[in-house]
Amino acid sequence: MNRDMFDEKNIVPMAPVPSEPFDSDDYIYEIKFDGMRCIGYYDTDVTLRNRANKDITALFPEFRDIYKQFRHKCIIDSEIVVLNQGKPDYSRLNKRRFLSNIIQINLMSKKIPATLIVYDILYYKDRAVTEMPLIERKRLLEENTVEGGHLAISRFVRGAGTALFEQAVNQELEGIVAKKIDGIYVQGRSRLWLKSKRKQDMDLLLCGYMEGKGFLFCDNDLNYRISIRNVDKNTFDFLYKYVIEHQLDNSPLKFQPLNLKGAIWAKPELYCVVEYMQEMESGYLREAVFKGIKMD
Amino acid sequence: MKTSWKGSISFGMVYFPVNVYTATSGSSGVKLNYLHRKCNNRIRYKKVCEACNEEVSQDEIVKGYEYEKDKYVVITDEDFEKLPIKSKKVIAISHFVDEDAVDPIYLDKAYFISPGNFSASKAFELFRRAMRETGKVGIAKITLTSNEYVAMIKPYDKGGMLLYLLYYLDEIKKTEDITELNYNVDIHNNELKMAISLIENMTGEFDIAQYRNEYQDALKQLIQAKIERKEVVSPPEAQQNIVDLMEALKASVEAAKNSRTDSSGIGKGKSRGKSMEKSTSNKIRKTATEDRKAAAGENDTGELVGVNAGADTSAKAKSGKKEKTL
Repeated sequence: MNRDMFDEKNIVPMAPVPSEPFDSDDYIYEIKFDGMRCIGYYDTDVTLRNRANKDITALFPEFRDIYKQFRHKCIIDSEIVVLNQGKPDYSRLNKRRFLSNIIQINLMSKKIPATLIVYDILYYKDRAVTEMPLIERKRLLEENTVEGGHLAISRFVRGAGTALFEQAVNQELEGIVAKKIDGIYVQGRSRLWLKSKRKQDMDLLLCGYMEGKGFLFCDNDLNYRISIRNVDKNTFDFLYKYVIEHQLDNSPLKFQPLNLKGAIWAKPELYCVVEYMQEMESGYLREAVFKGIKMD
Repeated sequence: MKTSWKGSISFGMVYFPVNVYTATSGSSGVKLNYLHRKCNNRIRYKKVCEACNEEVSQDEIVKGYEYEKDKYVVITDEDFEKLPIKSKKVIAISHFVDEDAVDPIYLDKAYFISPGNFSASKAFELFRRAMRETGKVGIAKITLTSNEYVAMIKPYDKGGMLLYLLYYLDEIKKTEDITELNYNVDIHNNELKMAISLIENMTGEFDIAQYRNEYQDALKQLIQAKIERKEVVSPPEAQQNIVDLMEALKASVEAAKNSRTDSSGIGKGKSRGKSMEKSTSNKIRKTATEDRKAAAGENDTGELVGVNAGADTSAKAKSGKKEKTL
């Protein structure tokens, strides 16, 4: 038998393009969850791949039997989240994603278990369904999925994008995704999906560390932008090591902020993604959160 | 997989690049730390100079050879570089032998070999298939880090080739030193027949997958149990929470939408409207007007698109769980 997309397991997840929230009956809207993208291959076992197609099955032992909640062999697009008081909590998920020790993985899967939020189906029974219109894939997904346990089906509304976005903002969720109601599933970036985020992303360079302030970041033009203190232990160790190993005697910044005397400076070469609420006129980023190292 | 190193295979006129990967992961055993019995803190090893009684860092350390008690010659990095090693990064195959001519006792660490780039694939596969057809394996010299090895190269059934580092003859101990092996016994033909039939009765297939390290499994279970007794394992936060949240958002959005598009559409299905109101969170209530809420229960057929069949059960669960959800 020919190898198909289920056997090949090299799907590039469909990625939305940024957009302002809008209302259109040609679109359905769903919540954008702050978690780890996951393409799942379900038959009589489970294989989970992340956005970069890395196998992450072993990281989530709580999903080991989740294939039983799909009626037929399938490939499902989804988001892995770790909940905190009913909402996805990215920093909690971070505590799960870097583990390699089986004992720690098992322990954490019980302490802070993950939830799989499914929202698209790419393969059903014995064939790809990526050419099917979205609304029919949604119907197929619902028919094929038994909700419960660690598994939830993403809800959606038609037409009311701005209202859903407003709710997402009120609830401090990541944002929403608008999806063309008759759109096919495209691998990679596509305008058929449009995301509106509560917060924005910015790529910044790590340029130092200062006791009490945290890690220091600047932009491409070597303008100081923000310090971030609140990172988890793994991230702290990694960034701190990077600063020490790329230490500079003098500040690389174009202008020297007065409040950064005594900082350890580093060669600004490591791109990081910082999420923020609002960019102030001064260039300061409100509610900045470290999201990760930029990989591409 | 991360390459251990990149180099080339050469034999006769043939020369092609290859990547070398470690094939085995060593012990999968649980790693335990040493702790001080009375306070449970880590025992650390420090590198201390005997004479100065000072801790020394890695860049202060050189290698030396003790040629006489307490007398050393120092060997520097430059000295190592001067050593005449020809086979650096080249797997130079000197000849081929039958596979069973290499006693397994000589086999040390195993590596996978793959073509070093796309254009080397053909030479690689040609060489691999020729070895398979002839049943021969290649014997080569190779340098890894700072030592020179003999190696055996053979096709691997599951793809690519295998490279085994081999022990040198002087690294294999002699059985002559085991005195109990100098025995003298008589064996009868009948006894031998019986022993052979016993072996034949117990002959099966070799399947490594049947074997698990049960000691390590038990140790892991023990550790897990100890941690769980110590750590409070909180009950899993139900996925239901996130379903409730999505349902509540959806309901309030649909309600808002319907109150805009259909201002007169109020009146039917009051009881359902009530239950939805009950299930709508406080936060959402703040943003949704009374009108929106009233409409929430009534319009879930017209505009609501494709909510799953489980909506009813989640609505039931909601009324009980509401306070926790948002």
